[in-house]
Amino acid sequence: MNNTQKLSALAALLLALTTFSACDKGEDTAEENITTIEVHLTGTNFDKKFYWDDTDGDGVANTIDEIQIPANTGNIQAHLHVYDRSVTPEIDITEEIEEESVDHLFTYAVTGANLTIGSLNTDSANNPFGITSVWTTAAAGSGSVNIKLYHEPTNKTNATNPGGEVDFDVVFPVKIQ
Amino acid sequence: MVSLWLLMTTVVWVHAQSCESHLQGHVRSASLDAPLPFAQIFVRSNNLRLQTDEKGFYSIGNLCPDQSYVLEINYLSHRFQVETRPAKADFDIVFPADSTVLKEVLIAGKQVERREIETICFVDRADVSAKQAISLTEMVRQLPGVSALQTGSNIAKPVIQGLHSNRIAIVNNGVVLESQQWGREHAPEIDAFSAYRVAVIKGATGVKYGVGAMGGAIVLEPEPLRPESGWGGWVTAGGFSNGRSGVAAGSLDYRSGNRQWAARVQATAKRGGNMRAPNYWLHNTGHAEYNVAGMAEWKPGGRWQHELTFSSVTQRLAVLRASHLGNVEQILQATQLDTPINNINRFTYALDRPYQGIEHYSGRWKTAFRPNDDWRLMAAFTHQFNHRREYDVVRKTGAAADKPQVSFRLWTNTLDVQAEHLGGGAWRSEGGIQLFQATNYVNRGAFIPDYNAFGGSLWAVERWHEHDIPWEWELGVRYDFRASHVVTEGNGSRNIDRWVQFGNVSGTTGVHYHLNERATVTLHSGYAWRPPSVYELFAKGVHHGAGTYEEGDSSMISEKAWNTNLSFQYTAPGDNGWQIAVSVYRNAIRDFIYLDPQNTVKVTVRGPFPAYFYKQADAVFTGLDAQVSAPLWAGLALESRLSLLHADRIFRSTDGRSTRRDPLPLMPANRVQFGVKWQKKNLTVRAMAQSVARQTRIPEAGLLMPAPEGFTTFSTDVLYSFQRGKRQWELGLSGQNLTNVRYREYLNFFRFYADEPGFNLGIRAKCTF
Repeated sequence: MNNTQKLSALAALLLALTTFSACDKGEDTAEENITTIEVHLTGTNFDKKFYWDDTDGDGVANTIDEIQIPANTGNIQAHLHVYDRSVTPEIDITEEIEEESVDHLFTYAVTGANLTIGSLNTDSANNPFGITSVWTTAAAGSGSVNIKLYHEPTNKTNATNPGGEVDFDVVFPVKIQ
Repeated sequence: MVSLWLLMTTVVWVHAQSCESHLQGHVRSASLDAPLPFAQIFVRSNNLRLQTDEKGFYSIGNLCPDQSYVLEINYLSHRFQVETRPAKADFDIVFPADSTVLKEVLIAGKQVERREIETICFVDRADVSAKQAISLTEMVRQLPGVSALQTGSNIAKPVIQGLHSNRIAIVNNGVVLESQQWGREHAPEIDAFSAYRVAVIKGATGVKYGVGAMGGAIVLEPEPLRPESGWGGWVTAGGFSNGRSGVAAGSLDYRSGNRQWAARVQATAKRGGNMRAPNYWLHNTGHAEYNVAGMAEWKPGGRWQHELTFSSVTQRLAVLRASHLGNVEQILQATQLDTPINNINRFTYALDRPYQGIEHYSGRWKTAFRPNDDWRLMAAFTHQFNHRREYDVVRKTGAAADKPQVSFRLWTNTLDVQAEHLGGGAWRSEGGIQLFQATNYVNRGAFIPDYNAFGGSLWAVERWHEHDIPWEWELGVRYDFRASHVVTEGNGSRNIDRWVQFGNVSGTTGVHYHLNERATVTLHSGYAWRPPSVYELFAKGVHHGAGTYEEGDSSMISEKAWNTNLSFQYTAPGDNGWQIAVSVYRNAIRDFIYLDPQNTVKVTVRGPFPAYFYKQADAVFTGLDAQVSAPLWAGLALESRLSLLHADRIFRSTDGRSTRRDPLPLMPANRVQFGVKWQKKNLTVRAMAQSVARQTRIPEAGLLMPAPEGFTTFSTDVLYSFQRGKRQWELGLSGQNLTNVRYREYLNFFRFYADEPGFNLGIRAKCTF
């Protein structure tokens, strides 16, 4: 190679380097955004859905429904659903959670209201899972329920600190009427 | 260090005749088998002074063809003379200093002849080779005034006198590293094996290294390419007991028969598994790193030099499983536990989620031209690409199962043109222009936006040093302009489409006064600035990993630092004399940007997170760094290093009359190292103790978890080198945390979750051929 050729080789290389910059924007990332938590309650003559909803996907709720339930009622079946609505079409995360029930735990803590939550369903290893539960109300009043979802908990029988990491931790106001 | 300067005297008797001959070549060290950069050459007969460049190259013009010249060469405290005639071929000067003497000086190398006016420290050569297998940060944190900001044992970034990330520059072979350095869990993407000489410049160095170098710079230089024709190189391998990690690296050099072409390829591989704290394994703390680099040089004739370099760094760094939690309540629960939450107490090499996947590529073309002996011109184009992917713990069957959750990509292009004038007697002038462009894509619009940045800089540095006059000074000025176009797409509620612009002047001035051949006093003052980063302006959302909700402020203005450093250096003559280096500094930063706790929580889907907003206030850093080496007897010396720092935010009352000070969070605690070093022939043994005090200067608002207790750890290093035929061998043994003490570091973010690693024994071997 003579010098001119060498210099053109250098120039070609430089051009190639700069062309790398003209890259496309897309990269295949996927976040597990939980934007919406649905509490689906069914009982005798009673079928209602309540939502904790973050419509713009910044992690902070835009609307939180007040859970309204009749007083002195037993055997209300609760089923939770979890969605990512920051993307179209929305992703129903519920299925993934049910598939990996061993790696998940839902916990419930009621404050103020006369509400008892029990009979959490179990995972395939017979440990608590809690995607479904049974709610029982007493006298009218109001309070709140704190629902948490733990991912990969290390001790599922310790409902206050099961380890793992919190996927969601939300509070719904509750009104028993 | 006083006597570490070079005075070179060369005597030339000039005859009245046509004197247009030329002499050039390299000044090389016989013992190190390496060129000597910035050695001074004095041709007394012509009253001509010059200096070798960073590659040890010199060039002398206007010599008489039949005349014999005496060149006096000064390097550090060594001096020698050589007599020669002008020649067509390169004339390489081999510095015949006694090998141990020169080696010692270079190793201790507190100050190489270029004598930066700033406070500069070099990492001991022995520390470079001992710590290369770990990381760059581990190398430099041995120096007084330098510490490490860590996110577990894998991810560590250097802190210089309390400043880090975007406030310091990391310069590798003349290239300022452009990556996602704003994040405290983002470690510099540098192959530590590519460094031959590692220097830390403390204080405002914005004039030299551009926007952001307001706290200092870490400057790495590769080993110069082999100057002789033929093949050469080195291979090294090593292992560590903790983490059961292994590392191998090698480098191969070739120079063509006519010596105009030279090339190098270099590669590194590192792999390690879970680290162990004294009482338990730290689950998911392994790493894998694979690096490749190449370098080619072409020197047609004596006046042109072209250089092409390429490097690639690929890392997969596992992040402690215990650190990945949902919200602050869980973090607080974790801090109460004696063993880490979610920990699996066994060894594995597996690198599971959460982990970081990092790639960094850089390519550079540089051409240097010396039209005559007085001028040096240089142009360089650098391209860098940084890709950082973060993988969180996700559901195995979900859409995210095989994908990263965050991806940052940054492309930068830099064009540098500079000129240096050496022919002005005692004056030496440099100046240049830089053009800069960066594109950043973040595949997570909700936290920080994408941007495109453009910029330009203009700079000049003037130096004055008259031989035999004890004063020496430097003055530098620089103007930088940066404009960024910031955009977010999708995500309707808070779309951003804005231009932000910043421009500012930086300056530096310094003066050396040589009390005598052994002692120097240096006063250096610098003014540097940094525009707020896009992250600080526009961040909004939960910073996972930090467990905080962070919000930027787009109205923030640039930070301005006024840094003053007074230092004293003394070096006794001889191999093992006293060496003292002390510096006191004050760094006053106007509009310092920091995260301010809001005493409120932001309730998100993951529950409550403490809210932090980016705010600005004035801050003042004052401190002292000291290093003393005292000879005892028979090759035994006492070594001590001390780092003290006091860092405060200053709030002024609205009428400006009264001020209130509040300590800054996350500032390195005061620290002292002391130990003994024993050296006999080719064997060096060092035993050190490091004591770190508890950080008591914390913000009034308090910390999420109290600062950890102070601690003392012990370490040792043994280095043995020998020659077998043409091969140079080096065997090393190192031990860290010898007493297997349990401790936590204030500057390690994972102090919330787990102890630091325990006892670690390392061995290594290197063969240079």
